[in-house]
Amino acid sequence: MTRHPGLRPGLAVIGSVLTFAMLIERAGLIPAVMLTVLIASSGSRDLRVRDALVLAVCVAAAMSLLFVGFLDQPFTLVAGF
Amino acid sequence: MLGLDNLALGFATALTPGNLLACLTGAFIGTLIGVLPGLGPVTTIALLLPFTFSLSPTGAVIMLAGIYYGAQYGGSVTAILINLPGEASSTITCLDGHAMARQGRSGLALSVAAIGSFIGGTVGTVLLAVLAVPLASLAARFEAADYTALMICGLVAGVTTAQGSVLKAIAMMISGVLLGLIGTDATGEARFTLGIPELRDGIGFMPLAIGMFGLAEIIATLTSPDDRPVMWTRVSTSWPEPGETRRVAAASLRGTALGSVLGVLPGGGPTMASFVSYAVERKFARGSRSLGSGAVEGIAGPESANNAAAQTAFVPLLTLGLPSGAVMALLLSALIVHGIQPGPTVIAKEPALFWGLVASMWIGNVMLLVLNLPLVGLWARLVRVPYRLLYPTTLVLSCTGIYALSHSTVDLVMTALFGVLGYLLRTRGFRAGPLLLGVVLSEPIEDNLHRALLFSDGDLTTFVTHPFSAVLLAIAGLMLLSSVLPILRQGRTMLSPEDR
Repeated sequence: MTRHPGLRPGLAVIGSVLTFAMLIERAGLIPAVMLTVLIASSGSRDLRVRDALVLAVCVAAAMSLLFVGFLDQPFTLVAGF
Repeated sequence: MLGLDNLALGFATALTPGNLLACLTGAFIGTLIGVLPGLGPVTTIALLLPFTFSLSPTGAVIMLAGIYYGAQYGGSVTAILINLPGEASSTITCLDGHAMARQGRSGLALSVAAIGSFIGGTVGTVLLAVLAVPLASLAARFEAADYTALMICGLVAGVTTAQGSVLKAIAMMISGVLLGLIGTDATGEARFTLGIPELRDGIGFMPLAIGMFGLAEIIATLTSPDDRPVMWTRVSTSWPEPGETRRVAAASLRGTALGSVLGVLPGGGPTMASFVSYAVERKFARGSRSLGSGAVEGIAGPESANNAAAQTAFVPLLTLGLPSGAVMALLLSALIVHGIQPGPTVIAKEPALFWGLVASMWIGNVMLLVLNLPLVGLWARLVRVPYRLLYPTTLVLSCTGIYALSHSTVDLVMTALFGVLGYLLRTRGFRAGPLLLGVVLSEPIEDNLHRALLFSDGDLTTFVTHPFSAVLLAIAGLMLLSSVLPILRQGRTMLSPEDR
């Protein structure tokens, strides 16, 4: 029997976008991406916390490589550095 | 017409290393997202638009087009192997495709799908090349009134064939047109901006597209009941039975013809083409297996149809500047952003772009055939990536992409808002496709309406006295009538998942 997801997916997805919006300028790309992944992942029925954490780190690394390394976008990676 | 010098120019353009790479990238990404359920060409193209700014306009269009028709190849892989269509246009392939997989003939099914797609795609490309110039010269005689009528006709066609309730689609379309009005009007005055300075340039297209399509789609997938699909990810090779090769060829040709016609029509598209092709094959499928239980026609026909439709869908866009669906609307905005105004003059003003694109489509189809046959094992394994890992990645990519475009967190907030709106509307049967179409056509319609009325000194009968305009408006009126009339008698829904 599957648990009914209710509002959780919607809140997770929207919340993650807003999190990104809040953090990207204040904290930098890497923290923003990591938290966004974590919050987004909470919307899934099959949430496995360890997987989500690993994913957060990997995606953050990939985004940094892609945007700053490859595409030369002016992002601050972590605020203050 | 289809002069040798045009083709020579086309291939010369398409075969440059940069454009070849763009083509390969597009085809690969297209197949990839076609294989992965939950990620579609609309979202992906919306996502990758900002990244194409560093490419030349030709390269950008080549890549984005590759994604679109590439997805028609990839969608059949999951349809056959796990009875889950990667794309809406491969839904019908599930029926006979998965049946064949269960019979141990998955390898053959996949080959038929790839080859059928190739035939459809190649012929569609040829048609695009042949039809483009005559159509464009016809449209060159259009005046402002005719353009207005043409776009209104396009809008009406887009809603009368939309998924679900026609009235809801009309409502979304009108909302889209109204949303498109936000910003600055022809005299430079701010309009509907609520005093927010960021809105002077209008509603951001990216936040709208990604919010209403991407985010809404993700939320919908997460909230829908989960079925554990039966997985046949081991691909077996098998040879066709006697006579099957001929049946595949026949079905492919039928599907290609159908798809080519349906792709050109606004509101038509790969999904509708595949459904219609299946209905046609019902009458033609012969042999030991009837349609639905593993007949090769059930794969060859629809797969050829959806690829042919994906190619000919470019005809109205490139010759008339008229997008025939959500994906084309996105490509239209991509072209505009690169400084190209699609319309009859595009072929004359930018021959390298147009013929290069056409040549690249043919090259792309060859690449896809080569990619798909041997790489099927890879795609089969990829399908097993769990959604809970996939969608956060997509989300982050979307957010970063949007922010990279404008460095404005306001855009991100708007994306979130549109995501909520898009999902709420979707649960009540309002699809985002017509809205997107409305937004994209809003400004051109207004511009042309303005100019038409300027020329006629405010006389509205100009739309009737111009012959093209009169005909187009009559067609639009007929389409509206024929779809609204049944509603007055009874309830009616029409199936066309194209705008997902």
